[in-house]
Amino acid sequence: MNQSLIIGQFVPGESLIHRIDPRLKLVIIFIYVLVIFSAETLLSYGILFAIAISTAVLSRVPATFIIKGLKPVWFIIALTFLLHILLTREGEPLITVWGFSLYDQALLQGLNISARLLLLILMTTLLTLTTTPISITDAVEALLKPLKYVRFPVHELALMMSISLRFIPTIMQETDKIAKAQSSRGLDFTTGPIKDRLKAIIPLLIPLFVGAFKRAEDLALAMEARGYQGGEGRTKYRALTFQPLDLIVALVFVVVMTLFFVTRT
Amino acid sequence: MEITFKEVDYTYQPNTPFEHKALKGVSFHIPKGSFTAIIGHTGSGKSTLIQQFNGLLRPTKGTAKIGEFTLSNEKNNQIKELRKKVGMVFQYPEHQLFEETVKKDILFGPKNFGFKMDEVEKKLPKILEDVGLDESLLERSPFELSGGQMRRTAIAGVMLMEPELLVLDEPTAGLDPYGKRQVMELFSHLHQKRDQTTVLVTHDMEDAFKYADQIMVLEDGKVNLIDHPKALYTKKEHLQKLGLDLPEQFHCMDYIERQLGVTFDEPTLSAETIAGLLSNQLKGGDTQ
Ligand SMILES: Nc1ncnc2c1ncn2[C@@H]1O[C@H](COP(=O)(O)OP(=O)(O)OP(=O)(O)O)[C@@H](O)[C@H]1O
Ligand SMILES: [Mg+2]
Repeated sequence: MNQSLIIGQFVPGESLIHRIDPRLKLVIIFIYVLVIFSAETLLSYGILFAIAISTAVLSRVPATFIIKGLKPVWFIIALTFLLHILLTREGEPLITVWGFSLYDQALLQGLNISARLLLLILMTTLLTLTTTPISITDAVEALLKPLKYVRFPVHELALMMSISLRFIPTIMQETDKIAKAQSSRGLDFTTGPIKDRLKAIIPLLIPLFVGAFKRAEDLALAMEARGYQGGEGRTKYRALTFQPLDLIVALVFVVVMTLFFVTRT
Repeated sequence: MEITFKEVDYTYQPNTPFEHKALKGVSFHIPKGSFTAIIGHTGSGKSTLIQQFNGLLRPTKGTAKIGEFTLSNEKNNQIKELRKKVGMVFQYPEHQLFEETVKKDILFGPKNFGFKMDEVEKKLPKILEDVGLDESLLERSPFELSGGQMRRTAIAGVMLMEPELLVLDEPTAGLDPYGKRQVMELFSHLHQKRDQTTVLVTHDMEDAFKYADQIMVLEDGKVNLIDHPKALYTKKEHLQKLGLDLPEQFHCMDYIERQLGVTFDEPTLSAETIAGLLSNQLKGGDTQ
């Protein structure tokens, strides 16, 4: 199992952030992500970082877990930063070393992009860390409901989403089991030339696919056996309700966003 | 192969909110040539424990000695050698079938470990007979097999490698009663015939008491008890307190003791011996 990347994982909890209505969370994240790209000044970045950090703190997910879990992401951010510094040739040169000059625009752009990337990943990761996949799907379905009037299959889309999300952990576990069974039979996918290692994936993939197809069939059968049929008239086991807490969160967010737009440029 | 565990800890996903200590200071010894059954509740760490035997998992702390191999938190580069000598039969054989034909799948392990293939193929018919797999199935696709046949295929692949240590993780799950007996008899037979150490993880007390010469009880990631099956008769209250089933013979002996006012001080495990004692008793003789 890949334990080094936490994007997409859910950490159970009872924190304030966990309890916010997933619809509101989605809307906030959506606005936040759009807004990141219009930040220019130091102060506006400050506000965005403040939002992200206070969300992280309020979520009660251990900070070390988040920082370590984003390890691969740090690398990407650093690389982006480096590329920008090395390749951008605009503005005034700041310093020159061995005939290579660092331009002020390059530094600025590099910082800008890295900060945006970091915020983007941090906030979306916090969303999945504090919201169950099922809640996210429910929220997507609720938010997309208006599209039903143009005959967009909202419910089916949500169903597909929730089934795929539901089975990701199962498939990860299964991969782990298959890998163990094949390793016990002498399969080696960690050493040797690349060609051999690629070939070693086949004994992994085939049982995985066979299992996935079988599971899909079983699931379809089980759903049909229980008389499942589409969205119309279905009630929900977990009905989403907008609580006073959500109202407060929404208001705070509106206030902070107003502040952001004032300081943006 | 001799197995010695010293204070072995194993933690899943350490340093995350999902951290889970599955083994806590496990120490035990399994002598060469013994047949050890591991029992315990679901989640007690049985599978985690046996996966240390061929280095699928490495101890977070402590050391595990498997034959001449020593496993600890550090990487060991003899893992392949170890796996060649340790045969594993898992709970779900469908997790490993992938070749086009049953035959190829059976030969997958031996091929990976660099066995001489012509010799292995010569042994194949005998092994097939042993595991009860019809030779006509060899050219079929493994995905067309029944659950029991899949399991036999997996077992045949392991047996071909003539492991020094055979590890069975609930090898009879999902088999019918007849298939179950047959497979267990096969393991027992192979164990006696070959110079092999066997470790069996099972939920079936009857099997544990019938085939094993040593029983280990795992509870909450710790070794709760390790003893001869016979000795466990005197600890039956303890087993019941753990919520473990007792084998039918124990209940039967218990019942006879209570009804007839006799005591079995030397616990007997086979139905024949109980019947013998009983008839002695009824004829007015002694229990021994
Ligand atoms: N990959 C994993 N990540 C985290 N925890 C795990 C993982 N695999 C097992 N565990 C946990 O470790 C504990 C021991 O699991 P293990 O599979 O060894 O139990 P078991 O005794 O074999 O149970 P069963 O009889 O159901 O097979 C369980 O509490 C389980 O939830
Ligand atoms: Mg298990």
